[in-house]
Amino acid sequence: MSFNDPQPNDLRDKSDAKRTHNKPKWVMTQTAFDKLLSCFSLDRDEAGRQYERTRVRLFRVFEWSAVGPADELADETFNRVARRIDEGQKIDNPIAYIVGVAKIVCKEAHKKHVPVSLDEAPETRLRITPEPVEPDVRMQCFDECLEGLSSERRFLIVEYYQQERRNKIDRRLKLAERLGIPQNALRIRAHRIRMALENCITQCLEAAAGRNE
Amino acid sequence: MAEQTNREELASRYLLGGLSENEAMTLEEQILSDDEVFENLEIAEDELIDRYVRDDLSAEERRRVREMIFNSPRLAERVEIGRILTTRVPSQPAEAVRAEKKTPWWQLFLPTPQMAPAMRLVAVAPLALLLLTSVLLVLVWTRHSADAQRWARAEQQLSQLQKEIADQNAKSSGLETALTQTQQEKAEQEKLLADLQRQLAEQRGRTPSIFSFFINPGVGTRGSGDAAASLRIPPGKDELELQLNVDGGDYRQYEATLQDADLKPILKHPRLKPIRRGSRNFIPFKVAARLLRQGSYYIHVDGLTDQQVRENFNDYPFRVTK
Repeated sequence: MSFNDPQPNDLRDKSDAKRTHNKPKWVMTQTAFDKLLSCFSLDRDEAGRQYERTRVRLFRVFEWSAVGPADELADETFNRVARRIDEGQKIDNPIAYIVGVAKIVCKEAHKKHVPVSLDEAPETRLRITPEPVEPDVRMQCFDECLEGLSSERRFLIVEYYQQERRNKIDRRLKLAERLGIPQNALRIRAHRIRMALENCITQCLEAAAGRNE
Repeated sequence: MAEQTNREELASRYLLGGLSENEAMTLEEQILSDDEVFENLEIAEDELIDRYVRDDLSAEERRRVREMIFNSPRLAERVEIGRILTTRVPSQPAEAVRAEKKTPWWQLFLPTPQMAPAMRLVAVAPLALLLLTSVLLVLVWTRHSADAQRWARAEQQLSQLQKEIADQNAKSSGLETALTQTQQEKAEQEKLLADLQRQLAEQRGRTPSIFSFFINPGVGTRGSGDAAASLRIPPGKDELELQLNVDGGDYRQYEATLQDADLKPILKHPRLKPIRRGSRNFIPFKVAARLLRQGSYYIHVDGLTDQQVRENFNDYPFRVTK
């Protein structure tokens, strides 16, 4: 990390102190947001693209850390970074700075995190995505979206997910050989097809939920 | 390969919370800045979900994944789809799925996206060969067509030339015929001319103009024959011109009659004009040589007045000897 990296003490949530001194919570202003963007690039459009990309990936990092709602934690991280920049902090490496702040936010969230019995808990506490209106709607969407893939892509995804364990490994090796590509390329290709399939299913479920509302 | 395996393992350990704080921070920086690393984490997420839905995780790993799912509706949805993927896909034989959609014949020549670059080259080779062959065929056909057209044009030109040559030959033949004819005509004309010239020469040789003979009027009586002039007609002469002396006469025209010894008229010239040559004044009396045989002849001349009245003027006796 560079000399501009945030210091943990500076970036700790001052909510207790705020409450003690009765200070209002800092909120993002347009000026602060503009300053935040200018850290990514002087070109406004490029800065916007980099900000969005960073936000999505930070969101994932918080999802994978499993300490709380990823969107709230990502917003909190950007708020703190923007606040420091607005207060005059010079940042040479915004990514490293953001990661540093995110780590602090993550730790704080971990401290606040109240463990729940996952054996009894539902798989997710936030159901924002559409609920299946019928037990088989997701499966119907899956079939529709799978059918919508090109024959080559469909062949690859079906072949990739055939069998289990040892058989699966052997099968993927043969599939990679058959296609004349390295295994990693096969993984990437299968992943991209799977993402396209899942996006299609999500849209299909949203449409189905919209019809039933 | 080993590096890739390490990356995969690192990503898997990160998702399962198995990295140190520093390792995690370093990787997180890469996740935010490096597309490849981020995608590698997404793939690791796919595989973690698959292992989860297949119940292929340890209890601790399973608990970790459940914590993630608990806090992320997105991951919860992915798990649902992952379950379908694991249960639904194996029920669809890949070959059957592949055979479902009939591939258009022309796509057989095209590389599929699944193929490696090298394989694409191999796959595209027949198409390239087909295209190359087609191009070559088109080129050959075009050239052949152009050649055929050129040949056709050349043959047409040749035919035309042959026709023209034939015409020229015909014309030439005609001209030759005409020339021959002309030459013949010319030869004939030349021959004719030569004949004419020869005849003319012969005529010239044979009749060196007219044989003239000057005769004075007779002083004696007719039939005496003493004062008659005697003349000998040269051989080959067709005509005689007897120049009759009319010095004493002053008529403007004369009438002369050739008579034999018996005074029988042989030839008569009704109007003869007198001709003055030097000191002589005469009238020409032409007579064919064949009319004159050996013997005595008289030419009786009458003077014609202005009123065309005949007046006896003179007699001109002469004797022809052979």
